[in-house]
Amino acid sequence: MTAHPIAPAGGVQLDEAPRDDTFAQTPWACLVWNDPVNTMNYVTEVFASYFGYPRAKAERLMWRVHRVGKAVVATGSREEMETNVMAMHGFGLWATLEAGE
Amino acid sequence: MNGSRPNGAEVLSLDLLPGEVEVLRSLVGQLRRLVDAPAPSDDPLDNWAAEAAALPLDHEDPVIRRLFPGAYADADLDAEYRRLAEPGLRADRDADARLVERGLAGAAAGRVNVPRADVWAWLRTLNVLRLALAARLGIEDDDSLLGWIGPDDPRHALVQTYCWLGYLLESLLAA
Repeated sequence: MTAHPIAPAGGVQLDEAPRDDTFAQTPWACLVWNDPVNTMNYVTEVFASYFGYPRAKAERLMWRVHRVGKAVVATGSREEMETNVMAMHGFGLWATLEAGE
Repeated sequence: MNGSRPNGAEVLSLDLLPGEVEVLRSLVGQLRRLVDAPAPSDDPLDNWAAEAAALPLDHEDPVIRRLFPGAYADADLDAEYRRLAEPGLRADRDADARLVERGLAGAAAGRVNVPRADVWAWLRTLNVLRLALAARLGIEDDDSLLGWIGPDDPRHALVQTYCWLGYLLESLLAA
């Protein structure tokens, strides 16, 4: 970035089209939603065991799910997040996939 | 029932009453019929063919909807997700349940041995049974159970079973 942009000379076209990989780089999120059945210990254990999160982070995410009603537990490519959501469903957690901002 | 783990033990044990072993065996059997996964084979082609031929799940059933939830807000993406995810989830749930059945079959005087390698299969199965019962009972929030615990309520026995499964789950988690 320059402080004093230079106007393009004649015949030079500004390229304002988005990069082709814009969408590929859009992050996706794996969300876990609160439900009244899964116990707090079980949810913490799933986050620690599946994602390999330290216990403190797993507990923080569990509390967020419990208090806020949902939490983003992982972000990344759509494929990766779909794999995570599928795994959460395997553990019986209520999870969904959302495109990032 | 007690969950106990001598320090460093590779096998956990659950001490159940003989009647409890039967209740759990029955629930796990019902879960396997609900999930209705094809019998696994060593041949991947057989598995693929069996998955393709498996009966679709009844998504009108609240239990099925809770055990096999959607992943996307978009209907088309969600249908594609279910098509991809469900056969594997059905097979995994069945495999977990079979491990639990094997453990229950080996129970002697109510003592069930759970090798550490099988603990997640047990936890997931106990949890899925709770989810299924909760869907049948219509548990929707943290207060749903409060008004139902009276012995005159027809759901009393199911609620007791639901709570007992939670106790087993927490015992294994603490072991």
